Amino acid sequence: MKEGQGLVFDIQSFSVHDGPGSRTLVFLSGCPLRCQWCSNPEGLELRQRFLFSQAKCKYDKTNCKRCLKACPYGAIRPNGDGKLHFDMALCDKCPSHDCVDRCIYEAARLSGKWMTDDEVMRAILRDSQFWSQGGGVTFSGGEATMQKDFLVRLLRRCKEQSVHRAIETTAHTKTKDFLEIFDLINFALIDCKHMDSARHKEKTGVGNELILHNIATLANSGWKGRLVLRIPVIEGFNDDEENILRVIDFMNANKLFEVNILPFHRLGDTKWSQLGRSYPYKEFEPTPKDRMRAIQDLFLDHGVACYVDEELA
Amino acid sequence: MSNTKGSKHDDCKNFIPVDAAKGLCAWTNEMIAIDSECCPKFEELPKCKNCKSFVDRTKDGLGNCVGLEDKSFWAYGEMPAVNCQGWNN
Amino acid sequence: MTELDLQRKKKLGDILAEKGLGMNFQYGGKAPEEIVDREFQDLKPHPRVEKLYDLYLNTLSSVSMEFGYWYNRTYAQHEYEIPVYRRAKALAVAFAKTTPLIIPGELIVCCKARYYRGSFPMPQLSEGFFLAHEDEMYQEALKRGGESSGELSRVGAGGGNVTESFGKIVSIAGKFGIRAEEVPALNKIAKAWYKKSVDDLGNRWEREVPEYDLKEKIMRTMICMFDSGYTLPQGREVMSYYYPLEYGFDGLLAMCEEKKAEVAGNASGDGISGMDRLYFYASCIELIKGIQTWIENYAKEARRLKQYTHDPKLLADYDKISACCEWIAHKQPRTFYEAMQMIQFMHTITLNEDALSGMSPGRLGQVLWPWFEQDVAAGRITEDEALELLELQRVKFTCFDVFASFGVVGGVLSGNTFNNLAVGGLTRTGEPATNRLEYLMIHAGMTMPCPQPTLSILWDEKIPEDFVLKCAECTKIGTGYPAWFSFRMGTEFIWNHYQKEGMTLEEARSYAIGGCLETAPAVWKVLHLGGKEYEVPAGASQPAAVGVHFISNPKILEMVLFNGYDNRTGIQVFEPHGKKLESFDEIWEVYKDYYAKTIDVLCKCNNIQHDIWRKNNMCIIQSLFKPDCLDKGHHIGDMGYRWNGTYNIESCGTINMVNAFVALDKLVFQDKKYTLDDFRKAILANFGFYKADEIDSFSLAEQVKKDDGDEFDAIHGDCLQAPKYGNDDIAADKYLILWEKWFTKVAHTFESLFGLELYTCQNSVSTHGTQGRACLATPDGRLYGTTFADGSMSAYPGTDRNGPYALFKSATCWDQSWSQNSQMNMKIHPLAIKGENGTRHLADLIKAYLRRGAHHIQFNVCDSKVMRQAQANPEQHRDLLVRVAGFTQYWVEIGKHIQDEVIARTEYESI
Repeated sequence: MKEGQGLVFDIQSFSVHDGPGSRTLVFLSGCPLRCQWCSNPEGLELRQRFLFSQAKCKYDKTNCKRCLKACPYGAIRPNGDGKLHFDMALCDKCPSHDCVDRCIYEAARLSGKWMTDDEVMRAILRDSQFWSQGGGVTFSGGEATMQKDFLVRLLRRCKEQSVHRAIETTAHTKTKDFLEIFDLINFALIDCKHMDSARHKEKTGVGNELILHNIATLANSGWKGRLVLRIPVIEGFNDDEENILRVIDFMNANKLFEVNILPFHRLGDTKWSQLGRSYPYKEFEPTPKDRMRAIQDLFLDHGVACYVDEELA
Repeated sequence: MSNTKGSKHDDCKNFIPVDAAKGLCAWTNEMIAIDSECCPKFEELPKCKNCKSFVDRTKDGLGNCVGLEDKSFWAYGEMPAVNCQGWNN
Repeated sequence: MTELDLQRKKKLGDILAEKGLGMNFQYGGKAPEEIVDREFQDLKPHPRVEKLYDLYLNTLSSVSMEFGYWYNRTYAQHEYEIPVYRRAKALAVAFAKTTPLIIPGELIVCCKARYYRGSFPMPQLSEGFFLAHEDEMYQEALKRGGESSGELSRVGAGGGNVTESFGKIVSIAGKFGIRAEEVPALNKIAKAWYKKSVDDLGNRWEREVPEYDLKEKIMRTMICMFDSGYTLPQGREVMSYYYPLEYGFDGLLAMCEEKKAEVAGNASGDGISGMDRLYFYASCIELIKGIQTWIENYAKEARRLKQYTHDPKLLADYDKISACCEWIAHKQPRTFYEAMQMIQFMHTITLNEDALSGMSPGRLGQVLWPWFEQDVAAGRITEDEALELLELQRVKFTCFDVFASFGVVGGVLSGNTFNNLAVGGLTRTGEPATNRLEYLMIHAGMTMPCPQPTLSILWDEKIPEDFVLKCAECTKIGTGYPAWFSFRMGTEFIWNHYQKEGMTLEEARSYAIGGCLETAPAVWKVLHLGGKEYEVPAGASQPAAVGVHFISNPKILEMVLFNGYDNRTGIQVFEPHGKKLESFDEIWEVYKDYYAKTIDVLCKCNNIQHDIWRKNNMCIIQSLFKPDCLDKGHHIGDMGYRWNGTYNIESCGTINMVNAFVALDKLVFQDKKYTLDDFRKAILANFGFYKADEIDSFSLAEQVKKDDGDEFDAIHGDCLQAPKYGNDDIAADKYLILWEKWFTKVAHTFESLFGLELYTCQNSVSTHGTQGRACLATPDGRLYGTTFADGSMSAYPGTDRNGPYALFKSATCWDQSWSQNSQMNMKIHPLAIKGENGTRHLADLIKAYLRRGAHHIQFNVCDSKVMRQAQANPEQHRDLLVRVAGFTQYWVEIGKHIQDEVIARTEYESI
């Protein structure tokens, strides 16, 4: 960790699915959960991760060997198939990453950049000139609350500049911190992956008690923001009627009425392979449309406003 | 009805050219190749090559037109003469 | 939207309403119900249109000699006439004699030549190409003579292009097919123009320019792309349909007769050209009569076709066509249908006068509004019927081909004809000018997606939001149109530039887009219909993009670095400057000097070419149609138009030049890491890579390094990693500001043949590929032969790393109203703009950019996987459309090197 800085693994301008209007998404590294379907695996840990993209590497096309020559550890070698291979276990622990500096194609790179508040704010304020009505910043991750101090500083500065502030969170953080952060939030997307704690732990590595407690506490705290629950629909895991009905009960009990269900997609696959890992959900099929509609109907029939995928606005 | 021998579809009045290779038969509305065999319904389209004023013909299809007010000017046999006041045969 | 979806939406709305929230509480805009939500892929044109479009897709671009024959014969016959009258006679006879062509099922008729997709060469402009290939074509034709082929179609790899000869068809320039029997006639006509064409005469006279030698070298080294005087002397301008629509051709005849009598023998105080008015009006009279015969011949043809059918619908079509043509050959159109048919005739007539591309209908929805409004009110037409006519018009416009030399058709235009139809903008008094008909025009662009007319929206804050969303929906279907323009920015440029000719702000508001992205001035005219008055826009300017065409900015820098010497061809182009270049300022000074010299000589030579054109091949048809020729009694060559200061300087590769400046200044002069000699060595060695022509691939993604090329790794890496334009980084963007401040102003110091200032035009069309091929490696790390960044504001592929907003900020770091245009091409992932919300977000993104002072933005949303499939199986992708640089074109009809580039870029950006 660097003093006074935060680890940001991406800033995306013109993001349109994570809050009202068009928004700038700030992805903060580090996450207490280990969801098996995670699509941002490079942001799971609060440190820079080494990534190698075979698709961007030009060794086979241009005979570029810059990284090979730069590596003092012999961790990179050409294989017989005309491609470069990295010893990812070694590279992940490399203290220098000389290859990253030498790669001109951004095939070898580090996830994330340690940034100051000023640097992040510069990007946000630049983008703010282009946002549409209702637009703003959304902090995501990873789990943004893992870097609580950095996050709170940024939120305060956004508030000073009247920037609309949204968060996409797992809510898995100390309740006191959670409430302190939410004091600065206008709009929240909170994940609700499973109502059964054991099932939740099975696929995400943690139970759901703290999460549900935080949501309930927030909902009953008089907080003025807009809260939308978000469910990544994983077939055979959380898409059964029983689980959905329990979500509905939970929402009714806490006077929550908006939910956004997201179909599973495999977009995370490339990043898992860039980390040298195999994506557990590589072979898993995207959730069919009619399944999504059926779940939406269930919610609607119980008086919960349910948005499918990009229909949330 | 005329003799179809040596004629191609774009020599026929009933042919609607689409491009340099093909066109529609106005009777059947079917697409036909210009260079395919003509049928008994063939009717000659006025062209320079079947005009009496088209003289001094050469082997590459050129010749002279002596039927208009400029007295004589080169012409090419394949040109449609539908709107030519001097066309006669 | 299905019934079920609507129910869901209603439920959702009810729940939210119960909580005290409206469905659309996130937006300040209108209720979502107003957006037409459909699966756009399911949209279909009317059955009649679909059939004709299918026919189009299977039609070869074909050439016939009929029009050209009559033109040439009549022209020869009147050898001793006054030039303008001689040309009018020749055109009039050609129109009157050309055989009409109606395809069963058409309602809007008229073809350029007697083929569905016909055109014809105009050797009076330039005959060199035919003479150079005369023997080859003749031999080919003879060879074809004995061969007979029953082949119906060869549409495939080249779409409708005839890429090679087959059967009795001879291929010209890899694009057009001509019957072998007609080749001797083509050769004969071409020969008649030897040393007489605008090209040949222009070349003879431009040699009188003392610096002519420099021009030769500039053209041979591809520092400049092409001459505009004889290639495409007209176009890139907005049509005026006003006069025939207001007066009818009989009315115009009477007007010309009256004027002719008035001016005959009178100089009216103008001792130089006052007397010319007589010949001009006499020429107009000849021409109108020829046009009337042509239109009547279509009526005749429709009646003739009746003998072939008993189908009552088809018979009704023919009656409708013949009645319409008989009427509009003489009178003002009475109905929307008649007005649409009149537009088709006028447009075709115009295209038959000269080799021209970019003849834009302009704000056609506003021109046709009077007929649409009155027909709908009177119940004479339904919106659905109007939509069918608009779809039919799209197919007819897509059938237009421009016959120009191969270099122009392939290298610059990629076969596109740029008939740009604009919607939106403001009225003279500053009200939004959009109307219901324009809404249908956008919708027709979705139901009948095809390249022409290409669409543009002139966006202003006042344009109704539902209209903006409709345009955004259309953008999403992936055809690349409409292109989005800032109406305010265009108005500012136009007003600023034409004030010198007396333009007011109100007049400036009548402008539209001529060609792909060229803002072109117009005027307002009062139209009378059914006892009501309307104000309609009418194009009123010279071609808005002729002059100095496509200077390769990176190539000029190469000249500076190598002392005026072109290493590719071994030509010493410029006088060696002999400077040591010890600071960036010194480089910049020499750069400006070389650039100004380039403009100077090209401008002079082009002025001569255009002068020859206006003297020997003057424009009469547009002079008849466009304000104020009929008032002044002068054709456009004698400045009959209202606005005449339209000549421009076009540039290419701006962003590569900017990035090269950044890298040179930083690495050589600030960091002192390398010397200029290091750079020269690296550039000559192509940074250790094979040259693109050595590996026969010009694609960005496929360049290959030599085994011993490692020597340049360090410098190449530093070049690539130097700051780049497009990241909101002033360290890079300041060089763009430097450039634009100089370029846009220096243009005003040059003078066109009309004695008026030039301006800058910054859109690359397809030249970024062609000119990139002739340019060595550049200091920004780009390799030899590879394409430049397209447009003028798009980032070089892969170098904008901070998202669209940072790119927008960079692009608007200078005042874009200084230039006729700028061009931003953007790729956007379909997922990011999916659904109803996505449409709003797209509209918001566009507005955010245009509000900031940008001129233009357009989008490509095509998946590279589809393009690869299309390259492999062109037959199955005949109708795939992509946005290339400033235009939409069929994938299969664009050159392979551009195809490769589009794929490479898209893939680069999607990784």
